[in-house]
Amino acid sequence: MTLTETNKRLYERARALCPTLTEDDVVALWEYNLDLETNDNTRDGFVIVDGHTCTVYEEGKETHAVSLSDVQEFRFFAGVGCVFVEYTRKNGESRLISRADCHHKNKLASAVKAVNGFMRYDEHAFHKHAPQELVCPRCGRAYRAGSQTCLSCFSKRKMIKRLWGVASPYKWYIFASILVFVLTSAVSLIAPQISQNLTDNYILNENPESVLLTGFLLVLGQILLMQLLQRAFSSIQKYFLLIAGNKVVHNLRNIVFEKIQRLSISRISKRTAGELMNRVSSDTGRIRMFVVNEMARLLEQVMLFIAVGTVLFLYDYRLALLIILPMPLIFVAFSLFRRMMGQLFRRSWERSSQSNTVLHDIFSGIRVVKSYGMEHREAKRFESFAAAEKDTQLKIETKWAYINPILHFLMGFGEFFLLFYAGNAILGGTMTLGEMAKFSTYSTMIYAPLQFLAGFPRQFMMAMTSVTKVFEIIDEPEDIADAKDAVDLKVEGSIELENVSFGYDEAVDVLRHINLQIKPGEFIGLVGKSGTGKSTLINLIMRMYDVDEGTLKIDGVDIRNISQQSLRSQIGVVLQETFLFNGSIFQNIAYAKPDASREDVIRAAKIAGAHSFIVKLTDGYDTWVGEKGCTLSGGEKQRIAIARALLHNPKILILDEATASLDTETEKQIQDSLAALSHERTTIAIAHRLSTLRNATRLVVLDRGKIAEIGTHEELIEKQGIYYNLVMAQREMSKMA
Amino acid sequence: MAPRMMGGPGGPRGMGGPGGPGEGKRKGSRENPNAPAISAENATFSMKNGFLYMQCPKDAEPVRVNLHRNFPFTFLWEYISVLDMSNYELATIRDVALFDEEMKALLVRELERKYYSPAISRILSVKDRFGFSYWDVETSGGRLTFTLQDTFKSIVRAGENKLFFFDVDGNRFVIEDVDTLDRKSRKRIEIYL
Repeated sequence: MTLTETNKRLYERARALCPTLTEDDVVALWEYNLDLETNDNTRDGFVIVDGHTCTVYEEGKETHAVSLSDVQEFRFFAGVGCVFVEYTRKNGESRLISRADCHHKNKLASAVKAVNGFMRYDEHAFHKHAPQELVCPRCGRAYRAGSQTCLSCFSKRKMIKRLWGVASPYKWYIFASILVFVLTSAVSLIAPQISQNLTDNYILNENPESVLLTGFLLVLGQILLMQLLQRAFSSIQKYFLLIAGNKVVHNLRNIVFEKIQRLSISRISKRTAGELMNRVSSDTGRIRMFVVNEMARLLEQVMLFIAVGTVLFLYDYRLALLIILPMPLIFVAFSLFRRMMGQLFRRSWERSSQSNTVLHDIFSGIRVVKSYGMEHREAKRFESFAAAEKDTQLKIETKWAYINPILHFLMGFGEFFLLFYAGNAILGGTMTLGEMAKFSTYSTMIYAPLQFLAGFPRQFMMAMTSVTKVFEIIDEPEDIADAKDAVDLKVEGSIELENVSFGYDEAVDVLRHINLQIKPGEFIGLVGKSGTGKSTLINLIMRMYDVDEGTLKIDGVDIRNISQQSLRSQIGVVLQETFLFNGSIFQNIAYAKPDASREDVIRAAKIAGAHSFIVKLTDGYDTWVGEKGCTLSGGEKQRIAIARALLHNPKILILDEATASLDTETEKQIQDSLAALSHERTTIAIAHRLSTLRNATRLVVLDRGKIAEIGTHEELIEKQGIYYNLVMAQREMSKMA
Repeated sequence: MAPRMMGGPGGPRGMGGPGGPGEGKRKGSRENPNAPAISAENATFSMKNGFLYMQCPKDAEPVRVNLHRNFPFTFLWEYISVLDMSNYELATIRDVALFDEEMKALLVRELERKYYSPAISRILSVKDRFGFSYWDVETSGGRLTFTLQDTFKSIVRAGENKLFFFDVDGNRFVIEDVDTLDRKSRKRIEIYL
């Protein structure tokens, strides 16, 4: 296996310090940059762990070494703004060996994991534990959270090509709109020509008698026709572009949404719900705006610029040069102006967003505000944020008021040159007034694209950023994809965990070396303090994540070889936080089995203890719930969720604090109903209230990510260990209550 | 301008110090309402193998401890919790000044070591690109570059003129007093305030 770039560099450094080291000896290498004792100095620290020894070097000199045979464990831990590595000897003594800023966090965590893995399993993991790089190797800039695409280095050409890939099915609409652009530009050019004809031959004609009324009317008709054609072409352009833009974005939106649905929870949870919504709606929306508005205008303006420029040069190159002369100055002025205003607009946006947040905060907590009589203070708080927003807005308006006239003055410069040149020419008799009017119109036409083109790079980059972000999601690897030979398994309910370890990130293993066999029909109670890995264990059984080490089997088949659809359709789950979709109670219960009959739903609701309260609602099972629906209590929502889980008669039922929000009487009623059906399915339940688990066949006590105790309630009470202490503590509590 | 809410991204949540893997999450699960307030009278501290040890009372066995600021933005040397390795609060320090000079220096050094936030003295350049800002600064720890994601939210006011920066990696930087910065540096940061 070849080394990653980072590991290769570390290995070369290690070889310089220890020339006898070979690649096969290396267990882990890491650098650190802060002094171990004080903040006064930065350090050039380097640690080499080979198969026998951990050696620490500072400034190129060995400062400490320890034999691995003396070490119990290496530990990585976070300070604030820095991280540490220590080891603990078998005699319990600890020693700090590295301290670094957070930039080194992943590298240190990964290295420590590799060393511990080696000490436990004799596994050389230098190749495997390559930490995920958080910066772009090309420009050194940081990746966005959860991303591996650098927004500074992405290839714009590649992105446009990929966007074209999505747009190409609608290319005929795009080509049609380009054709109409050409026609629009042609009409725009002819219009001033007709105006000139009108001015010179009819309005300023020295012999009005010679003017034919029909000719005059014909010219007016031409002007009218041009106006009509311009409007008509413009509408047709918009029509084609709107169709193309909307179809492209509709297509893109569906691709992104489907992809997000396929991503694993671990990948999704690296991003916030807001960010994912932005990808699906805002970013694709921005792409649509770009395709429909900016691209169209770009084509239009560039064509107009070239066409008008050509006509001007063909007619009189000196005049054309005079008009073009101030252009670079105007272009630069526009660019600078946009940049400055862009920063101010962003600041204003932030200010407004802050005021909105404060408002939202106050209104959401209005009961608290009123009960503490804090209306006046909150009003003052809002006032200060509103004042900041006002100041920024005022600054923008003031700057705008100063700069806008200057820009317009600059734009009028070309016309000033034109008037000077054309005035002389008219006086000299080489130009007519109509021709001057024509040039004046052309000069106005040539300046308009400049204003647009100065702002275009920004619009282009914004759209490209959105395109990149969207494709970043589309390209994201599916880490929990179905194996090629994944089977549809008819689950019986046996679960087997062999030496399973798992952590959500590099630094911390949440579960360590779990071995557990669960027989079909067993009711397993998971017990332990918060943060000991109970929910993580059920996440693994549902295959929301894949195990880092070991294997997890369902009915003797590795979970990675079972199709996810088949697995999840046979697992029912009720979590502590329930979620009801906008819809009727019936639809919510039938969520996991849309073809369920009314009888099935009512039966499930009865087992879950939900039927009794549902029938008391005016609209019964048709009652609308969810965000904008009927307000149900926590316990009622929970019972609907339990009914949902039971409806498809799952072979494995997972209850994660499912009955915690219910009163003890209702809980007992549901527990009894579940117990009556438990022989049909394997049940795994997590509960802090230990009485919830009284029907459990076995209890598994987790402590610090490991199985600490396992057995029946009686066995564990007799053992007088962690479970015993928990039971006693709860008894004390209930006595006090 | 009204100060922005304190406690920005990368705040001290879950950062338990030398409590070992996963300890941060459990912090606070056990309360000790009787944790004694300590001073030079009843406690002493020492360093061994890079770790801080406390003896309280003074003739007790040394216990490895971890110092934790209760108000890490506003009171750097006051309201300190002394936690054991499982983040259980053993004692509280109202003010490190309650200890003699030698002990006070030890506590200050330990707190500075755990809370690493180089002080920015000059801002050499700031580049804004795609919602990220790239900063090149001179700090008490030398010249550094760092990146902020969502710049406005990554700079937090911790007083009238004091600012904290939280970069994408979880590093912290501080400007003790914006007014003491040179004109160019102030101009560069002004847009984000």
